[in-house]
Amino acid sequence: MQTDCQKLGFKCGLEVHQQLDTGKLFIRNKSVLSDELNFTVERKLRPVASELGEFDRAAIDAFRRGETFHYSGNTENISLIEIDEEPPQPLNKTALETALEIALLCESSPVSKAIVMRKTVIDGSNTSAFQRTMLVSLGGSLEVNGKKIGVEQIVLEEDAARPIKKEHGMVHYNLDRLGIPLVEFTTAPDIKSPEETAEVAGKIGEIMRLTGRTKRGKGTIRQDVNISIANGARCEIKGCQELELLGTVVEKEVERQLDLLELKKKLCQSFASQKTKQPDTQNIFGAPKEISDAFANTEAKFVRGKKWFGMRLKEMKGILGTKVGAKRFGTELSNCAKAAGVSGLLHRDELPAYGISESEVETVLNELECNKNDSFIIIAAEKEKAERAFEEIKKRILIAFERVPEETRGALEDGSSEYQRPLAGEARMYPETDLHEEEISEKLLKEIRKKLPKSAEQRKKHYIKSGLSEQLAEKMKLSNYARFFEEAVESGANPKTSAALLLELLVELKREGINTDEINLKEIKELLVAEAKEKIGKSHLRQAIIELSRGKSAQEIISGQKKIDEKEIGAKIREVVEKNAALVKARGMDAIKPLMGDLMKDPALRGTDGKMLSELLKKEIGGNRQ
Amino acid sequence: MKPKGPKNKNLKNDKKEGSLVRFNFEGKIVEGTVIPSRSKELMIKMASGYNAGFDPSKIKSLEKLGESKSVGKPKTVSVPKKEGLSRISILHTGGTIASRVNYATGGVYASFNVEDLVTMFPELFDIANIESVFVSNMMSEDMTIKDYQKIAKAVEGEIKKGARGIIIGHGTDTLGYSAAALAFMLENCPVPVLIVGAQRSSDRGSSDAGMNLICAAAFIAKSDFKGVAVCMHNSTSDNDCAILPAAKTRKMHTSRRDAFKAINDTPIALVNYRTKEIKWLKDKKSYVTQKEKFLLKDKFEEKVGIVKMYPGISKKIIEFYMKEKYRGLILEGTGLGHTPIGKNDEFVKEIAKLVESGCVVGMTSQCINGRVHPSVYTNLRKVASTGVIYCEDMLPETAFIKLSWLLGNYGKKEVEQKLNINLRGEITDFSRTDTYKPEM
Repeated sequence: MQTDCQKLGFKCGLEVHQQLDTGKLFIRNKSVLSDELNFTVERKLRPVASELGEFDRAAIDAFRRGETFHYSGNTENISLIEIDEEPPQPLNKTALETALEIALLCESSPVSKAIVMRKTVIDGSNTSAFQRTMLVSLGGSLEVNGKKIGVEQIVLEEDAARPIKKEHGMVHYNLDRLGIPLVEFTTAPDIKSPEETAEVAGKIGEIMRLTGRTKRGKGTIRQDVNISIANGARCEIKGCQELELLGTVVEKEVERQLDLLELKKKLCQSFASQKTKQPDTQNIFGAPKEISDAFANTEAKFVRGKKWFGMRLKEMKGILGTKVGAKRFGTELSNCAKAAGVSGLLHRDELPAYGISESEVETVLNELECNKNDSFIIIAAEKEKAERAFEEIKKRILIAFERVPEETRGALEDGSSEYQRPLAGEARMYPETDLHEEEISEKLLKEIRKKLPKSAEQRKKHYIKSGLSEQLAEKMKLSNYARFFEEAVESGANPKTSAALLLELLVELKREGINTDEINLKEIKELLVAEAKEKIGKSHLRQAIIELSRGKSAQEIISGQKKIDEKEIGAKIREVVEKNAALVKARGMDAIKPLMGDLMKDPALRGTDGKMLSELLKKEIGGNRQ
Repeated sequence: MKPKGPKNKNLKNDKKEGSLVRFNFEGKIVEGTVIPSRSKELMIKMASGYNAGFDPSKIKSLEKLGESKSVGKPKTVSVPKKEGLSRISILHTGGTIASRVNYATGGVYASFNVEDLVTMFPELFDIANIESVFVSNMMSEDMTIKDYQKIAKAVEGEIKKGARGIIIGHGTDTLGYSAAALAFMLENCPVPVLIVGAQRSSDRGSSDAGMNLICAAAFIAKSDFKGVAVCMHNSTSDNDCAILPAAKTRKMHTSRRDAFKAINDTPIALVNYRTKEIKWLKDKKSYVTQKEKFLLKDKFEEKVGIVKMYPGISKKIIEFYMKEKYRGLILEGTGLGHTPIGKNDEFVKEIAKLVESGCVVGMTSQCINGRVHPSVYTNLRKVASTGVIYCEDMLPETAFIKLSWLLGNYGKKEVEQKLNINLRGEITDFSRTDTYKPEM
């Protein structure tokens, strides 16, 4: 698609949002996700005039829908701040330092004073109706496949509440995600193809993970893409969670915009007035009219018993069925209608269908005085809501004669997208009056620069050199433990043992239900160093971690250790084999099982790694038999 | 491009507040408006909407592009009077409910005109014809008796002009004190006077100002309520507002929307935000009948204080009020209305001296909930015998306002007689069982 993209005037920039694992940005409570909800707050949000005295388009859209928002949480980890009942606490410094580290890793220049801003968000995803956000740095670049991609800016902000469901005009949110720090990494529109989009996103993710302070797992990183083509428009597609899907999202959006341009051509031609050659749109729309009677005896369950309103579209037969991207033009209109608060629409080009009969369609055509080239749209809703939706649909149809509209769209699972709201205006921010400005001093930057992580590739090389296997080194290079690993090795820990403990043992124990998250890494380091100094056996580390998780200190564990060296183990094994010489002779390797039983019962060997014991035993028996 | 170098003569002028500028910040071109800075950094509101401070030593090639669009007020709309709607006057006294953000500086300023109200809360104007009256602009913690008097005069003026009801926009910190003061000043008040505040400022979409104002207006338009009350969120949700008894309402939380609670009493009514329906929690009759003629009694005695009792409190504190010739003092006692007795009863004796000196002393409880009692314990009897008046289940703050008001309008005998008798709903006849609820 590379050459095509150039011809099309394709431009694309990325916004990558990565959650940080540093605790919430302005709230000192645990940032854990939980579906155990035990309280709910109901709110309505109202648009406020922006600083230039204008209302934000997106904000008015939401208020007009008259939505009520339900916010739920668990009292053990949601505070008054999340429900907008208390001012924010001071900025989480670790989160800021992490954002600065990311900035310095791609030569982005930090500002000297970061100001926390309130960014108006009235879709309900923030209880306060704004998102706290601060600009951390400007400019910089990253290298992807030898090509430089410009960095626009790096921002540190609060994540929004998590939408759970939407019903009866009410949107339900879980508050657990609200306030988790997000680093927003914005590139310049330097990306030249769908394939490159995914590569750049991957690189950005890698840089952020180098810090060792990012959250991992589904939903912790989200990509928004800004796409435009020549004669098209800038559209922002939000919320692509899968890196693999990013290329498809971009391709589908290009296709959608091309189809809209094609549709525009078609509309302008078929509606061109004889005189002016300009499209004449004056008589397209009939007045909305109630047509519920048409469905009085309908078979279609979802149609029955509702109030239906219809609007005639003159000379538009076939237009709403025109392909636009992955869907039809009718779908674009339907999404606009949904944004205006109704549950969707039906149009002539898709009927009869869904249980609506031919004759019912005829009745609607008659009711709305449609002739054979006309189309219609019908909507089930209260009169006022239906009229509002028709207004939005009219606007959207008229736009189709002129241009591709700028809009914010939401990514869908198949890589296509749907309309969410008009592209947000620019004047949506004003300073957070409850917080001080944040100084980013040269001294702080110098300290961060000193500890800046090496690149992932450098890390990997270095780890292999220190003795890790290719596989462990690959795993470690972007692990949140990487920096701790380096620190531990520097303090004298064994690289292999440390990596195995951090990347494998901890995961294994966690899976077994042992709470390893609460263990202080300092304690683990102490254990690892002690292991390297042979103050504790390697085979005892597993038990030691379990004890740490139960609140024992590394010091206690180490000093309580009676060291069993391999010599002693060897002597014990020889002793058992000699004692059972007859058995060994008779059953050979099959004697391992009963002998292991004896060994494990020996109090002197308690806590010794079974696997190691069995290896040594095997060797001993093998040796004896030769 | 302009010649380089920091000695550019125009630089200072270019960096003036409100200038639209463009400069090179470490290789990145930044455009934006200069905004006030309290430090050496150049503060810029960028085209992206972000504000940030830039170290001047990292800025190159700054050029002025022009002046920014004037920053500030929302576009306003004119408001035609609607026939068939009654008149509600909104008196503005300042506080969060009136505060708007100056988006350029992040500072807060007050706004009071009708145009602003209609821009922000258009639904208000479907309920009534709204008049907007400026009284003062202050945060409520700075209010004094003079301000109470000013507000009361303004209320009287609006009543004379035929207002169906009055809404007073007020800062929340001392809203309870003002509510009590107005309740006492406006004797036989013939219209609803609702005091309304906001715990979240109006600059945010989640502000409680709109709902509190709209519920207050709906209550005025739909009820025949007469008297003073407070209208604020009933819970943290945007479901209904509580109409609270003026002399029995207290700010019980520093930041929540539902900070105001009726103490030793229940709300008078609830107003549903969505339907505007009123649900009476009290017998409606007593609130809608006009008993006698409306009188404005707006005098106060300034030399009245309030002292909280605490373990080890020095008698010198009581001495101070005597020396300063205070005419009234409310004690916030512990429990049922205790003070320390002191060595050889010295603290109680000091109180007795104060009473003898002519100061009217009232006893309330720092428990807030419940009623004081003069004779359950021996020590209580000692305090009671000094001549201290036990103020039943009156809030300490209300008792303070009441005593000040009584001393302003009545002779000492009458003051002593009226202090623990209910005048405006500040004392209940009996202690209700439903005002202090356990967690469910």
